[in-house]
Amino acid sequence: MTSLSEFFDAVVPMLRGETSSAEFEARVGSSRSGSRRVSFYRTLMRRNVRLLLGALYPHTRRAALGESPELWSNLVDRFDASHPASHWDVNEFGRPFPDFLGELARAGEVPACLEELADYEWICFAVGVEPDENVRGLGLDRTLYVREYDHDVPSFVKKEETGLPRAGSSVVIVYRSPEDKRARFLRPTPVELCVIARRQGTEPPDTLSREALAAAEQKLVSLGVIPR
Amino acid sequence: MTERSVAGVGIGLRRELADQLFATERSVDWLEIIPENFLTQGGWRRATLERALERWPVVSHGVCLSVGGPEPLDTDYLEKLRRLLDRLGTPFFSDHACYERAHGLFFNDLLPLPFTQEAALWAARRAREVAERVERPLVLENITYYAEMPTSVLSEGEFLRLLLEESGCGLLLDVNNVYVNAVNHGRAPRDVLFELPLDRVRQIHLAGHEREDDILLDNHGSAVCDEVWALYREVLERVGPKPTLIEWDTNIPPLDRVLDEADRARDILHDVCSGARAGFDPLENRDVAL
Repeated sequence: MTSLSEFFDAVVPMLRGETSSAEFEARVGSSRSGSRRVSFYRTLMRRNVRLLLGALYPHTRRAALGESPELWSNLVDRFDASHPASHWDVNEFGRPFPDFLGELARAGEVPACLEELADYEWICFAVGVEPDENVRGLGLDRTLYVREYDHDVPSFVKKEETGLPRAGSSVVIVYRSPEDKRARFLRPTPVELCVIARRQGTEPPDTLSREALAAAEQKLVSLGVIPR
Repeated sequence: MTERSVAGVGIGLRRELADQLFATERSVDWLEIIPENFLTQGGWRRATLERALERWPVVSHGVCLSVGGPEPLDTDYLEKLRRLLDRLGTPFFSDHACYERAHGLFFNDLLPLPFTQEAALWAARRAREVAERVERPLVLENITYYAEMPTSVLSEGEFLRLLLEESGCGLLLDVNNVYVNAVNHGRAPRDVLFELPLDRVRQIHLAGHEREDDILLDNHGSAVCDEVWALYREVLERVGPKPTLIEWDTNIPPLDRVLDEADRARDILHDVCSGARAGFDPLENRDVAL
């Protein structure tokens, strides 16, 4: 008689799509519901992965679908095959997706902007949900990210642009708004970047006026980008 | 410490509905959260939860416990859950009679166990350990299953009764799941319903489903169907007033539509239960000191 452990040994590869429902049933016995119903669980597994990644990266999905109708499905399947979920927190499953896209981009398999787009979506998510107790000082790489992108990903996301993000270098700050604790983005001026660097201990160049620095700092503080 | 009792009809605290929820003056008796959204996340999520707790009792309905799974229980997860439940202060917590993890993989779905004595006893042992670690009663939900797993020898009702009796857990009766399972497996919904251990019902879920080819899918994406409303009424007649949740998690409509469903459930709850017990108010919420 098949034990519970034998059941799990057989069902996992079926759920992963590594064996068929017929092979599963050959190992542990037939389902009274029929093979087609058993194999429906593999369909559900694939569907779930698409839903999860699509929820975490809706704009990356939109861009990929715009590039080709099959691209998103192919990316999700390959990501799931190489990075199967192992943690109860579904967001942990999605965390490596930007790096995965980066590897594909460097291999010339996907447009480079997809990695940037996914990175932007991930940090917007992360900024919004980082526990307060983890935030120290400026909250760099927790509730405050500074990124330089080769594409205008914030406009693509905000304006729901079609196609792919437009090429063009842009520096972007993603920060947590103190009002509603959600992510906001800002295209900083060079002086504003100097203010952030100064808060990290790097003195700004002498050529910047104290007035310009003070005005920039006041703006960043008022927005909640940096603490008072 | 004060626990907040849960009665009447609640809805899920969902991101899409939060702003409307805080603005509404319509009746909402309590809220349900998916705890996994709050165990490691702060920021706006935590702020939303704290704001909700100022106004409503909030109960926890997990989706990642894997009570029937083959791997050791995740003690880190359970400790985080215990701390969250302390904050919520509700008298029980729930998850599902299923598995989600196996062999190092997490499947992000509620997967059916074979309906065997071995599986029921295995899950019961783990459920007892969970309740001890989390220091609260655990309530398990009957899931939808689209295929009966090979090696099953018990009915779903026999399986759940054994699991719940051996573990001491309550039943979170999802009436829509009863209906979906009955239709998908060619049975009469009332037969499936009354095989379940209804004496252990601690909470009720109502939801919508959709048809996909020859299968009803439990997608929580539409209104409760008439057949499920009728079953709900029968359940209340059998088990008395139980806190009831309207689940609407996909294709989420404006809040008022969800609250219309909650009002309908509340009307039935009142209709069936108010006269059944003298002096009983099925919608009463009380603070009960531990």
